Amino acid sequence: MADQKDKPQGSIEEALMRELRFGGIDKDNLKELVGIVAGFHKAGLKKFKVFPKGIPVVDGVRISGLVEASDANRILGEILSKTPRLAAVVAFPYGIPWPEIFRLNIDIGAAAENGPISQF
Amino acid sequence: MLNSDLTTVPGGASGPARKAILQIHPSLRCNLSCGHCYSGSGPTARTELDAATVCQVISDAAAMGYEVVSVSGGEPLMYSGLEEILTHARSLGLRATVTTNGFFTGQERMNRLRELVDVLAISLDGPPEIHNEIRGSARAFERLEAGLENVRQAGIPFGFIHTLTRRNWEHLLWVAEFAAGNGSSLLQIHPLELTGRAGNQMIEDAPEDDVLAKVYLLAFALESKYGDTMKVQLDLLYRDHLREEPGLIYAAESIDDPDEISPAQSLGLIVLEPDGMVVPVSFGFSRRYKLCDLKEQRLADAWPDYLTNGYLLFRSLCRRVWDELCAPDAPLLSNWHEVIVSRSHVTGVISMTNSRAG
Repeated sequence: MADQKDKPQGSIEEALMRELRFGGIDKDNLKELVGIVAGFHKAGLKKFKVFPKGIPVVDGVRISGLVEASDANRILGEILSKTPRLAAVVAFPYGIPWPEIFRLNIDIGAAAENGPISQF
Repeated sequence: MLNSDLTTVPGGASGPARKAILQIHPSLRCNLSCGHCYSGSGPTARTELDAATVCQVISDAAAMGYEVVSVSGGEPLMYSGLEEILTHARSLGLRATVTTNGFFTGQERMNRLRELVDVLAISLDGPPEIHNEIRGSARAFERLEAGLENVRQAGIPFGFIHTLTRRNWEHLLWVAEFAAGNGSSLLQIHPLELTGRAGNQMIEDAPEDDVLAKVYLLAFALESKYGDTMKVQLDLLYRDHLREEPGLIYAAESIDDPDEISPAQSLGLIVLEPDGMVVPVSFGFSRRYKLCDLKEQRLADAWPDYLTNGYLLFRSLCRRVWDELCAPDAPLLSNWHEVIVSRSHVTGVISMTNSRAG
């Protein structure tokens, strides 16, 4: 049998579907993911991605999107208070010419079992 | 065959439609007997409204502020009065959508509908074998696919409506790729409702909570991938959003002064059923909450009395459903239409509270 890392991975959506189909994301993580995604959407984020983290060996899920600096504080506050099993939160400037825009990466997954890590 | 007053985009941020809708089911006649059909339509059904009656309701609705007619069924393309009612709607400046199973999309027919239909919504249940199985027809997918070229040639904007089940959710990527690849501008994902025929034939197919959660995530992934050309809409409400915004489902405590807003602003979706009943928000609503029975009264004539009686009952029901959906042990995601139709049939004490603002 070929090693998992030798398998063709396909698109982000296919990788996410594979994890969802075969139980790579447990029910608690699933609920928290839904909450984060809903929060992102309510905050007005139009474009963000949900995808397995650690391809080809998946160890969690990452939600990644662009937020305006004025919204970042509120979004982070919501996420941190409602998602106790966070693995990591990373926010970094999108850069010139949009210094007021941040890319926000939120990780949920196996790493959370070892305690939350927040990076800013 | 969907109730779509909630402009739900992935994320569950839903709300009454920007444009108020008159949903019309002129007939239950259909060439298919789909397992998931909530209206129980089929080849032997004969319940049907005449076009003149439908046109009268369209006129009343337009005067009441409704801006969109959404024709469903049964199979609307089998309804002999379809072009007449669409022409009438167009003459009043209304937008029109038609929901079809895709069997009768011949080139000549599509060309005739070109100036009458703003969006053609085509039902798609999954890859060919699943679509055909649910539709009970070995040719259903073939006919649908063959007709797409005619729809494109006619220049009618179109979208797909996908009924989500426990069995077909794993094919969602295929569905999205098929839809986007064929030029669709919309993919609407609607969880199976256990009403009508589905309540008998597809009980085992209802998507459970964890499937809904998975599809919720997938819908965002699909929106991210296809959003520039195809809107992905998921008909689910997120519990916390409901808690914060009860007005999304008509559950706000105060009711706007009807003297200051139009009927369409009070009720964003009304449904004309083939037996002549006009009900709020969803096909199959209990008749206790009806706006009117066309055999007895015109819609426009019924509205003032409805506003002081039936509408308050409806709002009271919405409030109770909101309480239920926001309870700590309520599902994270819910299909409001299914729940409220179901609860409308529950008999019990009905409170009528009038807490109009202003």
